[in-house]
Amino acid sequence: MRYIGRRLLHGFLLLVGVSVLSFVFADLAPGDYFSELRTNPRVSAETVAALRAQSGLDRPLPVRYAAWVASVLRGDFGYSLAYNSPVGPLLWGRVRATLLLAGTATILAWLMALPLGIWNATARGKWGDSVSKVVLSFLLAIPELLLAIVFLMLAVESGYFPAGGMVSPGWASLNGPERVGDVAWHLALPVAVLVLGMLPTLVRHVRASMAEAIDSPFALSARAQGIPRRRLLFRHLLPAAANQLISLAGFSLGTLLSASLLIEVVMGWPGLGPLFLEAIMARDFAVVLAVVMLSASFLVVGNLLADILLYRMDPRIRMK
Amino acid sequence: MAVDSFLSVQGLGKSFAGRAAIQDVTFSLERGQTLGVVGPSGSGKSTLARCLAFFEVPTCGEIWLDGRNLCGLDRRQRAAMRAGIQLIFQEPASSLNPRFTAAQIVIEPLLIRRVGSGKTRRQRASELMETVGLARQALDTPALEFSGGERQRLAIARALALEPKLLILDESFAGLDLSVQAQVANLLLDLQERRGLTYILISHDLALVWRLAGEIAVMDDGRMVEHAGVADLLARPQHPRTRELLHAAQALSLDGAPA
Repeated sequence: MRYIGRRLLHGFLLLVGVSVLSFVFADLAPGDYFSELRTNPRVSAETVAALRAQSGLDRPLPVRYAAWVASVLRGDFGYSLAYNSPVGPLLWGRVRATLLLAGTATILAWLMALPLGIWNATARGKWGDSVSKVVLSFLLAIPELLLAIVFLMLAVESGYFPAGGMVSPGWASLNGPERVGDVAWHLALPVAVLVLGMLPTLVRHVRASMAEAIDSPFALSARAQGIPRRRLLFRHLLPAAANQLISLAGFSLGTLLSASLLIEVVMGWPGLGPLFLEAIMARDFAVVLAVVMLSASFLVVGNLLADILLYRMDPRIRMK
Repeated sequence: MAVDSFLSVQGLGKSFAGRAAIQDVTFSLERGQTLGVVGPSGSGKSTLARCLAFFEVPTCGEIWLDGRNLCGLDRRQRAAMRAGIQLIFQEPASSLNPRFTAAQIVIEPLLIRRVGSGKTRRQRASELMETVGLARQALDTPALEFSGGERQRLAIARALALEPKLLILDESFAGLDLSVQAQVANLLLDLQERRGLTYILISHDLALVWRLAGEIAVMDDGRMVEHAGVADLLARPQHPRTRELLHAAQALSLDGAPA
């Protein structure tokens, strides 16, 4: 319990640090949301100054930070100048869309990486492993962005898949199962791109940790006892490999909100990605900060969950 | 050919990627005896052990144990024969599953072989603990909390659970301090006397081999270059490699090793 408490405190301090640094760096960067207006000859310098004063941008940094913290506590997460609304309500729908995309992709990638990595580890040095190694290296070398563009092109050329969006225009008039089907149809391509992007790293980690477990003397002695393969895998090898895999899963969970941002922008998925990009372009600092903080929170929570799981699973960590 | 010995190895060879790790190894061993296998690193000692314990499929040659040819068995027959040959590894720490308790470690082979019921298995485990000189009360202690020597005893208990005929000790004494080595060595001698176990003891420590083994085989560059009774070998070493090993042992002035 004390262990978890300490980790929670660490995570909290980390988030505070991220927010402070974000404020400081945003302050150091030239210009703000109203900078664009100044280039417009019909808007006077006084008007811009008044607008800045009205939205509180002229106040000193600590005051702005305090106001932001208060707003987070209210659940508003700051005020978006571009949307003229609190950031909170802007985010939730998009967070859902992003989680749907990245969550589906992550689950699929893991479901494929586990058996593939295990199989590769048992088939080391044989042709199957070599082929899979070459294919995965190839995938690792291709930027996700390129994959996304190729997939989009195929979608447009073939017409089998939609070239963006999350639902078809008449979605509201569909019934339950049809709605699910429609979303799944829209999900297919971005998910495929993300899965292909995640797969090489995951498979390599699974393979490496399984290989280590397979070569460990206790696995050898279990084999010397004539253990059936399935029992060896589930009772000895997977628990031994689990440590590294849990850490990796924590990381996967942590990147749920940030892994797909770029792909969302390119493939027109209405998640956090497009919102984030627009906010950066418009210097809508509150939205940028909110997305950064959300991603950071996910990373912290993902790692925390992994640590708690490790603590529970591994007697060696508990004994320290 | 007629195979009368308990263990008989004929022309055994194993190559990795075309390079021979051992070649033309031939020897036999009677029941209840101990064969010490010595030789420098890379001389093929461990490959020999791994072939005997079914971890590697020999490239050529035959292994006969108790009148049965171990090569050319199918998978199921091999699995059945496996219990008869158990290996004790070099590192007791990593040869025990760190997530298991002592009881789980000793019971696991019984579970795999579907021997007995839950209750009789535990009973058996506690007997085995006693056999190797560990306290019955330690059954539920996590494997990690045992000392190096105790872990090696636990590994021996686990091997004994399957009532093997042949025990291969692959550098099992490395990493144990001298007094613990002596205790484990005494345990092995005692078990041999009571259960008629046959040992193959792989080691680079000639003094230890001299203590435990009745006969010694010297490996060099994948071949078994000399095989003789301990007294013979120490008194009249034939092969240059054997003399080298003897000189090295004497240079360390290991007490008890006769010149």
